[in-house]
Amino acid sequence: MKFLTLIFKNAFRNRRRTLLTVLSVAVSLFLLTTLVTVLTELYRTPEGADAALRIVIRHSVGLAVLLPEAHRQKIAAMPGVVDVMAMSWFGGIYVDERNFFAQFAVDADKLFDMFTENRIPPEQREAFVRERQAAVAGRELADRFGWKVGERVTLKATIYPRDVELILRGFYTGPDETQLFFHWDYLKETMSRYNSVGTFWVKARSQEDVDRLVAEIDGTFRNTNAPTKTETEKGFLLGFVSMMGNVKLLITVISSAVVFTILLVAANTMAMSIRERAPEIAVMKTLGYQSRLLLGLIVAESVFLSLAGWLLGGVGARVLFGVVKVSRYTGGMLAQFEVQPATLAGGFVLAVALGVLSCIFPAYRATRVTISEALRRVA
Amino acid sequence: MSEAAVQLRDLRKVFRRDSMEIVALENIHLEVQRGDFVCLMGPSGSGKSTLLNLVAGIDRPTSGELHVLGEEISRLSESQLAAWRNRHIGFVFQTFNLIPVLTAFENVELPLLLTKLSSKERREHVEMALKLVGLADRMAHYPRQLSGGQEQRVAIARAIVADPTLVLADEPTGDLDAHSADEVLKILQQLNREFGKTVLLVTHDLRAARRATVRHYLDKGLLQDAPPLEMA
Ligand SMILES: Nc1ncnc2c1ncn2[C@@H]1O[C@H](COP(=O)(O)OP(=O)(O)O)[C@@H](O)[C@H]1O
Ligand SMILES: [Mg+2]
Repeated sequence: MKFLTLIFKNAFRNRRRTLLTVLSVAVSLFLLTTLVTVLTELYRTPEGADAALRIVIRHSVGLAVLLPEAHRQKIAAMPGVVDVMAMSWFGGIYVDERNFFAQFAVDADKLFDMFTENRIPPEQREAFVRERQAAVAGRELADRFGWKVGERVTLKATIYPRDVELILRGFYTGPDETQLFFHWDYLKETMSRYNSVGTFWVKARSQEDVDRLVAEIDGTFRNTNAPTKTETEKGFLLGFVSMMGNVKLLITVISSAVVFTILLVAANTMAMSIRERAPEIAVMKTLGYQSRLLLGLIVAESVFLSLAGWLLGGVGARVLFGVVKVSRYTGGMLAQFEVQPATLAGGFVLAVALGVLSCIFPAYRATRVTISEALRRVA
Repeated sequence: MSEAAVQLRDLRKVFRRDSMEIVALENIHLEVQRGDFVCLMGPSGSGKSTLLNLVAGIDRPTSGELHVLGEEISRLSESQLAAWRNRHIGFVFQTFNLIPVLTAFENVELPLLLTKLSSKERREHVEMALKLVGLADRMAHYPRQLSGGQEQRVAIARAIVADPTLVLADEPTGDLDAHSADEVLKILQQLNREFGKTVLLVTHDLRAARRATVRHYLDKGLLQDAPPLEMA
């Protein structure tokens, strides 16, 4: 610990260079943290025992083809099914196309039992269930448009032939606060002919029931005129991500390029800084400093600098995304945008590795040079 | 102890550059007694620095015996040698070689960071060493804020702070004006007389040579009889 002053003062021997290096490490780690967060958010699936018990049923042809309402009774009758809920994508426009957000017509009385992670005051929930035209929205979505309870919201139809006129009766909080829900019964009534359903959501009694039901439901409807495709909620959601192509590969490639670039930048700085102090290293050796101690001091200095970059870029990203709600600008694609502790830890490990790798070779060479050689070069 | 501080027998040092061989020292026999103030003179390139580096354990001889303070130091490993230097050798360079990012105090403290001394003990030693060279009031100054003479005095303080037996100085006044050079030489003489340090000084400076108790002369890697000072 008595060497801390030395390490610190060496790190700042050229302030401008140090600042630029720390900044470029910070910017790179910020970028990296952001990219990794995009990836983890894309692949994020609801957590908790509740989510693991949910099953999604859609038409085997695809989401664009709807299922008959009659499926509901048949599914509800299957052993192991606790609850079934209809859920249809409405895809309406609120005032302007740019205001895109997810809207679903659901069985209102089932909604908050199906998604227990969404919380709402009991009186708002009651008001929502009681009234045909009622709707509930996520807190974040409500804040985005400045909605108040009792406010009327018209969604212009794009898929369905008629617009829906809704009255906001409550706002929920939960992991995804960017959605709006209204009554499927109301949709059905408005669109007289459309008594069909986009998806059915099932809550199973146990994990064993989930596995059994996924196969059994498809079997039941195989030979009907509306065959189904049944998946766990997780499988269903990840299916959406894979529709976007190989995002993972793309982000991995970009991230690798970023990592490689910072390594070059940092290595260049350290190489310069070490070359400059070759005579000082020789002097310290004359005073009795061992090569490995000097190597350790240089490595510590380099790690200190890249950790400063991590603090600024990585931890900075977490703080920034905690304040600025990025999810708002993704049109509901990412419900949340939160830098995970694991991402931060990964950044930390990367920064340490970067610190070591960027200096280890020139540092090793510089600390092995014989004293008289190094001193002659200056004189 | 009657044993000599430095005892060199048939010492030889050859540098290899690519395919060229440079014989820097040959057939060197030399004894330095404890308490001596030895001055080593000779033209540029005659091997003075090479000899001093060998005695300091900074470089290794090609062949011959190299006894310093009762130890055959050519047999020590690199890390043993580093520890040995820290304990026994104080080295002063022509170009001062202070660490620019450290204050005078921190520069002088450097050798002590390798010892078991507490921070309070280190402070006492550093203050004493800087007081001895007359720079007690410059402890917080950085090298660039000091004159050449002051820098060299800080370097001397750094060389003696760990209380070495042997003080080696390679043309310590080479980069200094006459007045500063005189101050530096006075300090070296004081170290020899009052503190009993054995001093080995490489110099071109005749005034420096006059302060020495023993003089040696190197030419083309060979030790010669020192010519009288008036003629040199
Ligand atoms: N590290 C080295 N590599 C090659 N040649 C060297 C090295 N050190 C010294 N020499 C050569 O050895 C001879 C003596 O050098 P040196 O001891 O520095 O002389 P002085 O200090 O008396 O001026 C010179 O010819 C010099 O070029
Ligand atoms: Mg020399």
